[in-house]
Amino acid sequence: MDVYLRYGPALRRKCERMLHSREDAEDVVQGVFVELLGRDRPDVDLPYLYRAATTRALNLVRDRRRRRALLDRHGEILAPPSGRPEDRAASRQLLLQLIDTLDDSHAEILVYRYFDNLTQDEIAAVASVSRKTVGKRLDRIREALEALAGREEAQ
Amino acid sequence: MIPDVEPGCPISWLQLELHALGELPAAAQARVDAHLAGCPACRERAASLGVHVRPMPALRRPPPRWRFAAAAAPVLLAASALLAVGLLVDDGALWADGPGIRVKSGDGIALTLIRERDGVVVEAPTGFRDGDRFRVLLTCPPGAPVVDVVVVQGEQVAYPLDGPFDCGNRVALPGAFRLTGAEPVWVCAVEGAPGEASGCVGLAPE
Repeated sequence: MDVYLRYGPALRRKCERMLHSREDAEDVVQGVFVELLGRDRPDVDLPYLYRAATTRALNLVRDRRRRRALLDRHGEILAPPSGRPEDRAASRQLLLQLIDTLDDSHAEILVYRYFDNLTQDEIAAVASVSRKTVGKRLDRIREALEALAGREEAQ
Repeated sequence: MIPDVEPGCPISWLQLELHALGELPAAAQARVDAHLAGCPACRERAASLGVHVRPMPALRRPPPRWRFAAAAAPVLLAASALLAVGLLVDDGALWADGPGIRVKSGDGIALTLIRERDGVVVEAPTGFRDGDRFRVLLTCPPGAPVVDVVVVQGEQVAYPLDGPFDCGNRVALPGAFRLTGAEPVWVCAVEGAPGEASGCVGLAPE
């Protein structure tokens, strides 16, 4: 399958950034392309696959049986994706904890912003929402991140 | 090791990947080129895309998995010993290398079909026509819990033979069934509790 060989490595790198596991990343990529085989999608491109992989990776993160293993892998501190002060530095562990409290639409955008470093325009294009919606959801994510980080620091 | 994102850089990982693939529009490709020329951190990130690239493993094709929900459904297949008809709920794609290819499960269960058409008998056929009659030879290790044989066509499911069966080498199962229709057919052994099918054989309409 040509699209698998063409886009598979890029998708695998994306999943490794989020999941910090080669095995989990390959499982997600396999799942994306195996599902794709059953559909007639001549217009597959990397942004489409980014979204498909994000959805699968989020499901994996939320799987209670796998979360412990993911959280036990201590992640490095991620730099603010844009250098802007409103994007707080957050560890991978904190972001994965936050994902569990967010609904799908916010969790997806968190992944694009903090793991893939997508701009708001890119997020809007990949997630098929308006830039205004992306902005609102990022504000909500930052508030939730501050709240969670504050609770963590207080403990 | 995938390098961290440099604070302040406008180049996302998606853009870098598309740039490496040559799939950015010309203007965007030029912008990225210009940025990379002046940003060592992003050059390192771009370079990392081509370093230590592991070969992509072959796509794994899962075995067929079926859940059966008891419900009334129109009978598509005529069978000499039809026991039950249920609606098939498929929670995964049905994978095949092509109709007529026998998929053996890891536990040694295999079906061989014998087709009878106009007095001519063919073993392991790859296709069927309306009215073709089929018998089944079952090969499975002693003790394997083969409880039935299921015939699936589209969303129609039928159990035309009278299970459970004793295992052995090419055991001729009692009964036979006929096929009709324009959709491919799968004939599988059903193991244990409902939901696990194996040893599937596919047939294409001729």
